[in-house]
Amino acid sequence: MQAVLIIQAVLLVAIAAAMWFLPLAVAPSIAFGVRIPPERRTDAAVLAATRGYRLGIGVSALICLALLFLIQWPPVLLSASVLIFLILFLVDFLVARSRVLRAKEAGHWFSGTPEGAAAATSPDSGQGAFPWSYLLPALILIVLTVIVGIIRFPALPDRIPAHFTLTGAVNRYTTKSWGSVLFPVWTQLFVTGLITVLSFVTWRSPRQLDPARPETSLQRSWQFRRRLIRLLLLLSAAVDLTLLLAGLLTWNVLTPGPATLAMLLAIPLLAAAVLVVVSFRMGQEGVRIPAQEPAATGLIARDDDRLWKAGLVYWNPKDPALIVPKRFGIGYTFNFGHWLAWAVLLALILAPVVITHLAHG
Amino acid sequence: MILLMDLSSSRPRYRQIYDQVVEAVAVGRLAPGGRLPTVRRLAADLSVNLHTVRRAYGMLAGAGLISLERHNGARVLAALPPSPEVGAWFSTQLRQLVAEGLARGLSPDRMTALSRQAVVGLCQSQS
Repeated sequence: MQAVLIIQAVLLVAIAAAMWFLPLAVAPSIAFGVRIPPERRTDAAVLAATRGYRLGIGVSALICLALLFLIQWPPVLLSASVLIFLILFLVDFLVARSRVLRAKEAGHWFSGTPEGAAAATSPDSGQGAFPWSYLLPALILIVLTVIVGIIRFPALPDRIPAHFTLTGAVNRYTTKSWGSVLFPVWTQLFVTGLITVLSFVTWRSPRQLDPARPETSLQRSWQFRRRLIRLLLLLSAAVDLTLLLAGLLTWNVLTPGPATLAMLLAIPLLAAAVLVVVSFRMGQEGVRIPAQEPAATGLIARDDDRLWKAGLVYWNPKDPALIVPKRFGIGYTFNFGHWLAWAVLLALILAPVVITHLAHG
Repeated sequence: MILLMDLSSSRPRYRQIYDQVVEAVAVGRLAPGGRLPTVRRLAADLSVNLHTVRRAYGMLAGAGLISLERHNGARVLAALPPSPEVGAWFSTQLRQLVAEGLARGLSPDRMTALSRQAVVGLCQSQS
């Protein structure tokens, strides 16, 4: 119980630290989801909004930590503190955003500046091939899990463990079948398949180039995507390893104990931590990657605030892209003006339900 | 290659696309067989109308530089040996340009020098 509390607290602090740092990890022409001329990044209004936002993040984190330790929530509700933090973050973000918006409108920040846009004629030129080889560790682990599962199948009793408590005791059983015995494999296939498909779509997705230095931002975006996707594919291998360990537990190859369970949790968390640290160091689409900066074209990114609802949700039915770089954040988001985005979202919500249903009947 | 769109410029937007593609084809930055983005993709990236991109692509196809493909994509064509009409077209364009230069006060020597500079400059950057 104590260990779970500490994990939650560490998670909360890590999320708060990431949010605190986020304004520095996005393009200089974005302040809290508002498009600004890059030189306005040091404008008094933007600096004040950033200070307020960070104060809000700190206070929200403290409130949620206090809730976590003071209220004796049942384990199932523990994640509620993270959820409350995310809601407080959203409010904090929207306040900062409206402050920047007001200053931008009052000061007519975009009047008289030459607005522009840039497009790469071919999205994959010079980028090389998708890093398929990084998928290999995940595939090897899945094959290994299948082999162990098939070998162990005949020796398993008619009732097999389906769920463990945090202390390692079995609290639910299910009847033996290929569906239930190989449940870890189905989950592995789902996770690795999903990560691969999303990585591939992201790899080919269009970029938002800075019209001031389009070549530089194109190169940075290549580097960012290459590193991010390699790490994502390795993260999927880490999750597959955890699922292999979970399989070994249910197939009575390993006996559940604190060490096994700690390893089970630590592997994917560690992989995720590496992913987050590396991506924050690179900045969104690589904006923080050191690069030679050629002379600017004199254009600045156009004011496209109307395409980003609340500064967070991309809604552009005229854009054929399904996945676009996030505006305030690191990584990618859907174009919610594209019907396919809603279909994919629905599939993602339904898939875990379907897999569980098929496996356990 | 990268296409730039100056949204504040008085220069027509279809013309900005047309000019940049022509120059890229001329110097070989866009090789024959190379693909151009679909009309919708380019319109979204440059934040211009679909019609603007269609017009630019239409003019490029009319000039024999690209072929339009299904799904609104386009491909760069290999250069054909110039037909007599191309020479006539070039001569008309040049005549108009020289007339405008003269009318706006450029000396014949200056115009000849500038013309040579343009021809040499573009041919040197051919890859």
